[in-house]
This record gives sequence, structure tokens and C-alpha cells, in this order.
Amino acid sequence: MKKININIAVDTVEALSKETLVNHIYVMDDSTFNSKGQGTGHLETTCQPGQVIHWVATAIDLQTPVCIRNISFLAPHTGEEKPSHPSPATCTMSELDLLTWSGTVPYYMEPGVHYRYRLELQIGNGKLSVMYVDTLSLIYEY
Amino acid sequence: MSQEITIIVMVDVEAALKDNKLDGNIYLIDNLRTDGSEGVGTDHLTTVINGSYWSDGSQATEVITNWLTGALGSLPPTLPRNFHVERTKSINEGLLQTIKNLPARKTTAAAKANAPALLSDVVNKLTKTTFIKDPEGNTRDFGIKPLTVTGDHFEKGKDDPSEQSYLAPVITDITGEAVDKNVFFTCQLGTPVYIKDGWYWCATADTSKVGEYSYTMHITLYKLVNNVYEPVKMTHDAKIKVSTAPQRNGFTGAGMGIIPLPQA
Amino acid sequence: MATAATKKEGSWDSSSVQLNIVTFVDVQKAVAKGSTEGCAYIMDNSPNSRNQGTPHLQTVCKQGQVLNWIIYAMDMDRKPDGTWPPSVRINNIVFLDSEGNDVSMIRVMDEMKILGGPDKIRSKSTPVYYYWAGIVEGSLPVGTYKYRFVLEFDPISPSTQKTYLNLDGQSLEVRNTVVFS
Repeated sequence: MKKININIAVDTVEALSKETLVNHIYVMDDSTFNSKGQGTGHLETTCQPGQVIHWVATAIDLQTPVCIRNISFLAPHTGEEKPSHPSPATCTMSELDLLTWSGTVPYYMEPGVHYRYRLELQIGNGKLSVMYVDTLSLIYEY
Repeated sequence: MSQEITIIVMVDVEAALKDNKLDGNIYLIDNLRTDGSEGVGTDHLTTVINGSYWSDGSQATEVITNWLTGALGSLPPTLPRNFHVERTKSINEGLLQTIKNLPARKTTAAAKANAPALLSDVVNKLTKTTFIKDPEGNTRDFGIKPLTVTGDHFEKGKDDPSEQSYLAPVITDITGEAVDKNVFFTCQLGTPVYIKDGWYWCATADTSKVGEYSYTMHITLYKLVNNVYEPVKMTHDAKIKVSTAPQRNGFTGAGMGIIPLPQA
Repeated sequence: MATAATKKEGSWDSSSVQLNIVTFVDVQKAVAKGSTEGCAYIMDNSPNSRNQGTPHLQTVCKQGQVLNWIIYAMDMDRKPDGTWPPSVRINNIVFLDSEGNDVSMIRVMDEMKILGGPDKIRSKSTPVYYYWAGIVEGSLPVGTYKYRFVLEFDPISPSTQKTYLNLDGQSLEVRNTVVFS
């Protein structure tokens, strides 16, 4: 089964200036199952159990640092906004730089359910460097 | 995909030409101070790159490094790239306007007497564009006027020398240990002539080569001698330090596993 | 931590930041389809640009500004066997007339060129550092200028050839630059 790459392009300077990732990230994937919301902050990646998904973040200006700090899933049925895995304690860009974000879709993934996730990015080491969006999701359409 | 590294190479051109050396007249700034670069803003920079490799020892990412030069106290690099050309055009248009206004000046005897001198001054200024000698010694028409730091025509001998906007130094080569040991794979990007086709020097760094390596920047400064920008070649050393750490999976903290979807 | 809800008003002019126009391409899909339709997403870091994340990006830029075009394959990760997935390059950037059909008679960019060279770390055919850059003509009349990418795709299997496909729909909105005179 083909690996899915989820590419996150970030306008880091705008995100830092406006203090939000909303409208300043563009997320797209190469899933063969026609994901929805390509090129927006609302990407719904269509995948299947057993498939590998790989997330990568890139700064559009290439000059600023951006790293994925955490990817955590929100409870799909209860609508709870509590992420499955809390954000790690403070970490530096150099530590985050060594992390790769990929994994296999588990077999217990239920079809037709939106698994929303919180994507947390870190841009440099400043006070407002950590921001997240809750608008991305994985879905198993069979 | 990793962040690009940019190393800003600021040179006090006036002082460097006077002292005939870059030591003490160069300021190196990179964008990795928070990652541990040492000597940022001084003439002895050690850029720290986070090395990353897979468990088999092969490198996990390449890091692109750019060297961008600047002349201290000169026209800012944020101006459009064709600023010099546009300013030369605009200054010449202003001078032509002076000629156009000449008949009106002839109404008084004094203005009439002054006209030839004024005309000769205008012609002299109009034709005053520079030549540039490339590092190989070939002189060619540069087509631009020397400018002051406020974008006006700089006239040598008349204006205060500190008013001159020096051309940005040009890096013509990166050599040394880091290149010899294949840590830096440098890219040659055409002839390094300012404005016309001068871009910047860059390299891809192999981040699996853990250690500290020195490299030498070959920097050409330009000195304005009788309307010709003459190249003055100098060198300066800096270091790159590739730190060691293996890549880890963000979900598991170790190798790859399943994506932690919540269970129903 | 700044939450998703926090938003500040007002825009900001990033004149000191390089303007990059970044394209992500689903190489496998485009080559299989023989078309770039639905396979390319373009975005930039100019605060006022329109249609971000689509193939119809309209980049707001200024006369005399340097523009960089960068292209990425969506799969850029080295494979377990040590080889790299097929890549994509911009073979040419062609400015079009106002209809978007024919090649423009107006010179829009100055010093358009490819930067970068083959990356010796990888093989000769897979450069990582490879992009187009140019300067918007200083005296270009303000307005909208459509352009096309001619893209070159690596073969997706050893038995196939390189593929060349057009990508249309992008444009520049060139605004006036006021420099002191």
C-alpha cells in the first residue's frame, strides 16, 4: 500500500505576525483516495488501515525554522476537545528538528469516522512560537 | 525538509580597504544562534548544524547553506535589485531637464555667461558612469553611476568619502577543510559580478559528518579608482560544527509504530 | 500558547523577506494521469496574494522585486532501498498574453534563471537545490501577468521516459514601487 505524504507549508512570518496559523498553513497530501480540502488548513486525508502516513512541515520563505511539535488526536465520538497525547514539555527547535512524524494507520480505525487531530507547530523559540490548529483530519472511506 | 541556513557576511568595506584585511572589519551572522552557533555578530563564527542520521549511519537530511554579503553603511539590500540602474536613469533625466531649462536662463547676461560652464558640467555628469573590473582582470562597462548612501550621484573628490555606498562584497569561492572532507558541497552560480548576474554562493551540507570543520571564504571587495570598480581579493575563515544526534519518531519516541488514533 | 482563535488585525509588508512561490506536486498522480490537473498546489509568502494553495495563485509583487519559484514533489523521502522517489523540475516559466493562451510579447521578468546545480550528495539526476529566480522588470506597467510552468517529471519506473506537462492558471499582480527619487 502506498505511503501517504502530508505536506504542511507554513507562512511563518505571517503566522507569527498575526499570532495564528489560521489561513497561514496550506496542507496537502498525495493520497490516491481523493482527500478533501487539499491546499487548505482543513485537509481531510483519506486513508486505509495499514497505510503509512508521513507528515512534513516546510516554511514557505525557507529562512525561518518550523517544526512539528506534536500531533494528537481528538476523541472522534464525544466531540471532546481534549487531545489524546498532550503536548510535550518545553523543547527546543534543535530537539524538535530530530523528530520525524510518521506511523501506520491502526486496524481499529473505524470507517466513515473523521479522526480530527491537533497539529502543533513551533516556529523558533520565542514566547508565541507554539501554535496549533484542530481542523485537520484522517478518514477511512471504504 | 530542514530550515535553510543563512550566513550574513557584513563587511565594513571602507575600513577593510584601508586596513587591507577583513579581520576586525567583518561581521558574520547566522540564523542558528538559538541552536548554539558561537561568535554570532563577530569575525569568528562557528555555525552549529544539527546533524541527523539514520541508525545505519546514513544522513537523514541535507542542510542548505547560503552566504549573503552586505556592505556596512551602504544602500540597503531591501531596495529593488535594479535600484542602481533606475537611479542612474533618473539622475540622467534630471540632468537633461537642466539642459532643457537652459534657454530661459539666457535672459540675464550672467546666466548667459554661465551657460557653457553649466552645459559642460551637465555633459560631464551625464557621461559619468562606471566600469567594473572582474576578478579575472577584464574591464567592462558597468553602466551605473556611483551612488551615495542616500541614492544620489556620488562624486569622488567632492563628496565626503564616507558618503559613498560601497558595492556589496562578492564571495567567489568557498574552500578549506569542510569542502575537502565533503561536508560542504558547494554550488557555483555563474559569474559573481554585482547587479548584472551576481547571485550568492551556496552549499549543501552533509549532516552525517559529525565534527567541527573550518572553511575559507574568498571575498572580493570593490574599490572605486578613477571611475573603475577595482576588485580587491581577501579571504576569511569560519567554522561549521555538525552536532550528533539520531532521528527519532515523534509519536513513539523511538522507531516507527502505529498512529495513536483514539480507540472507540 | 496562542490558540487558533487568536487573530490580530492589519497586514504587514514583508519587504525584507524573500518572496518565494512554492509549488507542491503529486508526481505519481500527475504522471499517471498525463495532466497536472488536481495534482498541484501553489502558495507564496506575500501577505496579499489570492487563491493560496490552489493552481490559480495570484502573487502580489512589486516592480523590481526578486521572485523565487521553488517546486517540491510531495514524496521527497528517501526510500528504504536508498533510492529517491521521482522528482519534478520547472523546465520553463512562460509568461502568457491576457487571454492566457499565447506567449506574451511583454518582457515581464529580468534575469530569469535557474539557480542551483546537481547535488553531489545524491545522484546526478536528483538535485535538491534547484529553483528559478528573476526580477520583476522595474518599468513593467502595473497589472496582472499570467504565466505557465513547463514541468519535467522523472520517470516513475525504469522502463518509462521523462514526462513534460504544463501547469497553467498562476499569475502575478504587479504593483507600483515607490522609490525615493
